[in-house]
Amino acid sequence: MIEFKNVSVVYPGGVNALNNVTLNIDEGDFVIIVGMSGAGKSTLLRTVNNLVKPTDGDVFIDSQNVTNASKKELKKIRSDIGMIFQTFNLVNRSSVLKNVLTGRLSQVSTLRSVFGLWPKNDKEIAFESLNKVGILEKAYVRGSNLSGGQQQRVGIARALAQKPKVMLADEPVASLDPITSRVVMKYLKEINQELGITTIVNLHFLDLAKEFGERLIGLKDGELVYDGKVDDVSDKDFENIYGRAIKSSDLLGEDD
Amino acid sequence: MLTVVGYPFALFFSIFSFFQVGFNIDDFKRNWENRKLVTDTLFDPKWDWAIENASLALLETIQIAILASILGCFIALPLSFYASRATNQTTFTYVVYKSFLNFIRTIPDLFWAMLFTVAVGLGPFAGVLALVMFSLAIMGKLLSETIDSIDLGPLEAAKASGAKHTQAVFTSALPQILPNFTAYFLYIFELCIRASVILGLVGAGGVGRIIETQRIFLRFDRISPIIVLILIAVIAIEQFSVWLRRKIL
Repeated sequence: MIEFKNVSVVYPGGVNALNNVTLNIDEGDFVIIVGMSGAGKSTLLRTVNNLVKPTDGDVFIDSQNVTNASKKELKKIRSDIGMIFQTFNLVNRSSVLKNVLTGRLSQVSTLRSVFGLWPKNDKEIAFESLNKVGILEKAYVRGSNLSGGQQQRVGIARALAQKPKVMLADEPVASLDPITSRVVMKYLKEINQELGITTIVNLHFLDLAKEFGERLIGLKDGELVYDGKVDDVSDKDFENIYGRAIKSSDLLGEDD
Repeated sequence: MLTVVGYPFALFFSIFSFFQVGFNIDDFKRNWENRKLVTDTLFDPKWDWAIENASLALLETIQIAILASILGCFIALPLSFYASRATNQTTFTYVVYKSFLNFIRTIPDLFWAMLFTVAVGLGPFAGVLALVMFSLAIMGKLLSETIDSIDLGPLEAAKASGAKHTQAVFTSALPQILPNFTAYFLYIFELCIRASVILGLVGAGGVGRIIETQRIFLRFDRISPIIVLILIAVIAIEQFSVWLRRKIL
């Protein structure tokens, strides 16, 4: 469903973020990408919706070339891809509902979105999404008044509201505590299993990757160094990906 | 270095400027005798005359300020988004809008008033136009710099979901700067009130015109009550703006 063909990304300034990555992800897969900071995880994720344009190679979704898509085609492609971020990226001053509704922007005319005249259908989708992550009662609360875990759930609801085929999660739990992290990962897993949404998650906590992952991808210095089932991964494999022995900072741990 | 060269230089330059500007003890002594002309009348305020003749003009001054600040600030709002790199990646339009705002800022409000009194005639209309440019310039600068420092994350999230640029800016950038916009607007409104009085001196409507005509005849007995009325109005408006600010922000 998602194909990376010889994808390389060199940032201006000469930083070699990705080097000749070729990878296939099937529909409905739940993929976890691990690697050190700077290994290229975020970059790889962003080539899927072309937030980062590969300097070499192409990314295909359902045989459609994302990398060279026109502006119009790209908007259509992006509307089918939901993304959640490490820093949540909510509009702090707006209500939770308004934030989730921004997931419907691609489906609504500019005029309507500017004046906040959301069609009933879109509002219903927004409420459904909030319900799916269990924070319907917070719909009219200001974004910044929520805890980190709740904010990330709003982020997930926003992505869900797009009714996406693909879900991209860039270090979604990096700023959350162990319990909340597991709650968020649980939601992502559920959504993948119940709705069949192809999911790619960047993580740097190894125990979390083992706990929730099915397929594991390892990146090191912009190159693909591991691709296999999570159950087959040994500590040696992890050390390979990280280029060193595992430290306690690589593990999320249990709650204190 | 500073003490050896700087301070002596500053001292020398100040003394030099003192004489250069024409500060002359004899002139001062001579004109001090004229002070009676001013003080005799200044402290004999003609309240009745002032209230009867200046009230409407004072109202006009305030109306000019209100209209001009609202128009200027709301025109500046969309312009500021075009003049900020965060929301405008098109270099050409960015340079055009930013240069336009910079240009507007270099022209003093008094000059705008003179320009518009020639273009559209004496009176409040010229005053409004001049202060619209004044408000636009200040709001444009303050707001575009505020937009430069917004959190780009929500914008990225909106773009990632397939939203159009305008949609992304409206839902994810605009809400971030609304508190600033409101604060700047209230500040510019206060500035316009004061500017409006001064612009009246060159014929752009309001109470300035009356002050100027009375000054020519040295009727400070009529000017002093007008000044007090203006002071009262300015204080009242500033108190209102403090209250409003607390309510909204």
